[in-house]
Amino acid sequence: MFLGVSAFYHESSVALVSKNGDLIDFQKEEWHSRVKGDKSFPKLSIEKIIKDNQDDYPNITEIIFYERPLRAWLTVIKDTIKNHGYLNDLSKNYFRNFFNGSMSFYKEISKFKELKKCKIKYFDHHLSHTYSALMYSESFFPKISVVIDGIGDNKTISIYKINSLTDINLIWSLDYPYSVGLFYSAITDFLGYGVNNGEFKVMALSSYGKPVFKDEFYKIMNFKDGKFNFDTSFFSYQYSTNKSYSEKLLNLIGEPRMSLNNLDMTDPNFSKYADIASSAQKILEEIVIKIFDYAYKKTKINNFIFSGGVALNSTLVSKISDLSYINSLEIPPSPGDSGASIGAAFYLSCDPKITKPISVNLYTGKVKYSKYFIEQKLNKLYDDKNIIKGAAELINDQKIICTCLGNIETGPRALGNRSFLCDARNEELVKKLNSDIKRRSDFIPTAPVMSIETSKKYFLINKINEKLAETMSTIVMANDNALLKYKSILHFDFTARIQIAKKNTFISNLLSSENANFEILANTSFNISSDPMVYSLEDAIMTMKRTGLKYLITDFGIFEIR
Amino acid sequence: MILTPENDKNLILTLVEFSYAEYGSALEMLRASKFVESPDLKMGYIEHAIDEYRHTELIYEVIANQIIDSENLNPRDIKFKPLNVILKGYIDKNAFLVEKLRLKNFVEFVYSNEFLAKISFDKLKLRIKDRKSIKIISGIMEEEQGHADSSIDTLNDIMRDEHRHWGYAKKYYENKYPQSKLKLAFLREKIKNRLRLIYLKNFKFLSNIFDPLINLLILVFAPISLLIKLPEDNRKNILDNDFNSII
Repeated sequence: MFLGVSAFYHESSVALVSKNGDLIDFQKEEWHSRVKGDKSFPKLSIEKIIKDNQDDYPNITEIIFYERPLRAWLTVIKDTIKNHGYLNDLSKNYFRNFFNGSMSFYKEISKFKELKKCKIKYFDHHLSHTYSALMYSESFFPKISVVIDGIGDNKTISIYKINSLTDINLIWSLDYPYSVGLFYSAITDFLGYGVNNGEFKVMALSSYGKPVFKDEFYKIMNFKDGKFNFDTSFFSYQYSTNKSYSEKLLNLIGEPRMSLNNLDMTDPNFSKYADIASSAQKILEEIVIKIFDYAYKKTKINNFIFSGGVALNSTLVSKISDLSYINSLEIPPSPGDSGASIGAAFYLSCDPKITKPISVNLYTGKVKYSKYFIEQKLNKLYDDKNIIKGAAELINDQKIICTCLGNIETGPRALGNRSFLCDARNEELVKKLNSDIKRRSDFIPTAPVMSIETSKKYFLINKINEKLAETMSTIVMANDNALLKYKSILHFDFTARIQIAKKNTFISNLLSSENANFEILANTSFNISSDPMVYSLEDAIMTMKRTGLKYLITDFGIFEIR
Repeated sequence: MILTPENDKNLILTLVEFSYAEYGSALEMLRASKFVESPDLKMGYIEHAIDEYRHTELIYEVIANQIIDSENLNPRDIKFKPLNVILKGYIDKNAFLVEKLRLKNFVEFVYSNEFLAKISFDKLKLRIKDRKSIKIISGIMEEEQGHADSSIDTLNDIMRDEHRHWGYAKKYYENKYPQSKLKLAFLREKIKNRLRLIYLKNFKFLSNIFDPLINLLILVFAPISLLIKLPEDNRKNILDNDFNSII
């Protein structure tokens, strides 16, 4: 057994992987602390894994951290003191917190007496991402792994040639401080959103604008034939702890957005902000496509895996999937840092003699429920044998249902086990779900879920995005049928980030139920915007009471909140 | 954890701290709901958590009302970021209170904190001028008082449960609780809050001592860090790299 740990930069997580490469358990710290984006050492997650896997944890022989702590620390500190003086905000912060970040991993993990005998290893950050993608990919080789994120160890982009699970060549890489990911985060910051959690809002906003600043942004960065030009003088992330952009960026694109409130379409500057978002999105797409072109040109390999935080940008993914030379494009369900713990642990299980079967389980976070509690405190409407029938009837009656079923989704997207669901034809209801319940800005769309057959009726689907849509990793264009019937789940540009339900899941069984008077459901994660996804029944009831929703789907039946 | 705001100069930043304190309480209550077995107690803590979450949002409404007059403040410094609840120390992830304390002590803690919260909001109210915000704060104060009262009920329920469990005489517990021990708990929390305030007040002073030390450390170690060469990747098979090394 192997334990992978990711922590201290994005959402921290822990993965337990067996010797033959199966993901036994996966826990994100934010599920337990209930602090969204919790990046602290995943103490609660490790405790949970030890408690829930009593038979397995004594067999853990190795623990692997998803990056090399000293390399990551030195990379930033060397750059900042070399280029911005010894005593800047970032250097002070880095020195002050030397023992609080990644460097504290050994100290923190050593506190677990249950893990005292385990050997500790440190994997390369971008290899952790690569292996998280490999775990969910078809086992044929060679293939190319493209990893793009803000920063990982010392790299921000890596291209690997994967000859087998135990033979990998580094083809090309880009070192910090030059970073496409940090460029996008700086624009996120400029538009008044939080770095590391507001990037998806910038992506949604981009559809409303025109890329009028694209030429300006090309002055900041460009990529051609393996040469990356990046002007760091437009940014301050290399020396500041509270701002990502410099005065020079303001001179280029104007004043940043400063507001406590959500941006909505009535804002007098909405179109200006949308143009900036559109320009950032456009240049991100063009540069990443050039990186894929370069990888293909160098290797002539047309099967790709893509990971790192930038792979969460589903609009970008859709553009890559359209590239003519691409035969396959695979993205793990959790391509960002939280999924890197899975990759690191999976690497330890890789044996040159074994070809790993593809992992198809998208719901790996084990949860224990208190049946007695909900049966005592909620009204039971349907028993456990009539869950599908009952859920279909409630949706037919134009109700919003909440699901808290089985294991929680591995990735950040709700795929039916932790979802708010309602009939996608009902525009009013979808609007209520999006703005009143989820409290989102009015320009952020709600995603739909459907069967593969239905997706072909309403959207332009090909083999590549068919698979990507199982984890909502891409967007697709709607056809005229969808425009007539399903406006509520379409974005401004007539695209949708669809989920194609995997067979034998709750959501697939619901969609194919004989009681279902619907074929597409609006599906969004079961949480309020500043909270992590609901994990336990207590979280579910708390969220429902806060939102005023009534119907809870569980493994023990369907319940109504009193 | 409750702040005592009467001497704090910046009202908006004080309100921001209050919102994190309420958010921290919400997380503590939600954690408590998962820790207890009794469905009644579970639901009680869930309801309590919901109130604390709402207080966080309400305080931000008050902030929005006040911010109109404060042109000097940067929304970036005020914006609610859930992670700050850990960074600012409003929850200790090494042990949530319900795990750290015995259940009885936890309930005592809740009681005394809610009571102190009410006092703090009372003082805060005096510094707020607009009617809408005063109404919001008054609503929060009433609820804090309600939570303090219901904590006494909860404590009595626990005593009754424990009486059944251990077979002790009910009268014994009713005589012993809640008054004397609750007074002690109240005093304990008040001292803790005072210490916290002293720490906050002296933070600037402490920074003046520690900052030069950090600067000295940087001046000594930064040149050394420049000399350390990061290892080259093995391009032939990157898996031949040494994965036992932190560099």
